[in-house]
Amino acid sequence: MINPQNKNEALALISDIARSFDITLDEIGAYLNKNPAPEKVSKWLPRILGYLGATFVFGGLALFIGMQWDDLSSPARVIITYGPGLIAFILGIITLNDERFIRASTPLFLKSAILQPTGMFVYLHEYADGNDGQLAALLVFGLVAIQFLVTFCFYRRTSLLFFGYLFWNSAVGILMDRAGVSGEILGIGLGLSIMIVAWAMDRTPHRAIAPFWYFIGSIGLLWSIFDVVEHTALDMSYLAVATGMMFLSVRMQSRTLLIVSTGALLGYLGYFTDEYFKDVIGWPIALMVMGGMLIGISYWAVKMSRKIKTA
Amino acid sequence: MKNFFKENAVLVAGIALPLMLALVFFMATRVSEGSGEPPTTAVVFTTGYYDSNVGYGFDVKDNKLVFRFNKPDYNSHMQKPRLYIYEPSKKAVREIELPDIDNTKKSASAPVPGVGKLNTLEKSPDGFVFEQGSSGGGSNLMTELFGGGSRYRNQCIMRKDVYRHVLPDVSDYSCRFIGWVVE
Repeated sequence: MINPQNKNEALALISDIARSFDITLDEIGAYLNKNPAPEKVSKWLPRILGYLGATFVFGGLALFIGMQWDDLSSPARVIITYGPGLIAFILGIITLNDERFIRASTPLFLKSAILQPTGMFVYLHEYADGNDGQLAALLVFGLVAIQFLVTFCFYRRTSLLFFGYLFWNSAVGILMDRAGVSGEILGIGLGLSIMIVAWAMDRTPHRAIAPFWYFIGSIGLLWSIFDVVEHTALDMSYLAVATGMMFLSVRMQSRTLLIVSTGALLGYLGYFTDEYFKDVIGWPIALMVMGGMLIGISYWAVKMSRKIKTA
Repeated sequence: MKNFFKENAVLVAGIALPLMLALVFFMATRVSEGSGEPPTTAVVFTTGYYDSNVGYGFDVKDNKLVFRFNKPDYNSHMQKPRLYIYEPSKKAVREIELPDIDNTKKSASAPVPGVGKLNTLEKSPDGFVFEQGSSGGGSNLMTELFGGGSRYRNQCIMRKDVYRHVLPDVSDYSCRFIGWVVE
């Protein structure tokens, strides 16, 4: 396969060459950034102006709707919020079928992801009885998650997966809350689930969104575990959890996970010195001890980050 | 399909984990609710009342409920609280009309008719305690991001050990216990 004929063949050739010469992804990225394609450089200004223009149009539309809101009837309120969202979604799908406009799909799906749930909430507010806002949110997020994820199954676009998974988590979180899962267990379960799914995403062409989900999942997981062990005899175990997460970050090749777990470890050391050493030897000495530990951990984190880079 | 699950076992486990947790907790809650005896003592409670010495408030004197008003030093908007009674025999919450009270005087009070004798002990004679829903569960980043806000914030509940009895037709985060109807 010396002359690749399509994108997949080109990617296969690049990965073969990278393996043969032991080139890492970061090195490829750094080289591309050092020598940006001239075509891309000339395109950045129109793109930024395009995004800015779209933001103004969107903002203007939102302001106009806000000004007219009290004068609108119930059907008009639903149509004016849900309608543009649905149209943006359909336009997004149409752009996916034409290579020339494919880059317009992400802003269109973003607009749809904001307006469609808003329109559904407006519909429920105008027409549904009862005041269970959480049930309304479960219905809305569940339906939008299905819509985005089913579309993703057909079009395999990363933005569709991102929004679909965002709404999926919102619906599942509410479902867990309504099922009686306590806040801490909900955080641990959902955080772990998001991290596992992010790990699976990291091994697909949609790896661009994996760091975001690693970030959310790991913060949620570590936060919830800390809530469980805080001010208990088990609080020492958090040290093992945070350290374990740092090792896991090397295994999972995720710098995001490393940053979050390092932050958690530093925060825990602050809690630990405050809890056990503040009144024993004196706060200033405790601070000095903590400072020494921070320097040690930051050195260790940098070393682990290098490991991720070279792995 | 079998191959899909085999090849994507990690992904499937990640997606199934929160659903399994929801199922397990749902079943555990149903079992604990099914095993408990429902409350039998009526409870009087209020919403929109923030336990302040000034403005509108409630006192229980000699087992009788009294609605009182203490004029604040400065002019401020004083909203009347709302008073409710939950009668387990009828499985319904009923609003009680508050007596008229002269809020131009420095202080005034009037007995609330139709409530009966109250006891203000924490536990009812049948062993229940009255709680606002939010005291039941903790919140964190994940519940705030993905939990849709805790629904328990808007519930008034009667709890006996692990058994929770949610009061029907009340959705207010400010519900506050007044007393148990003992006669």
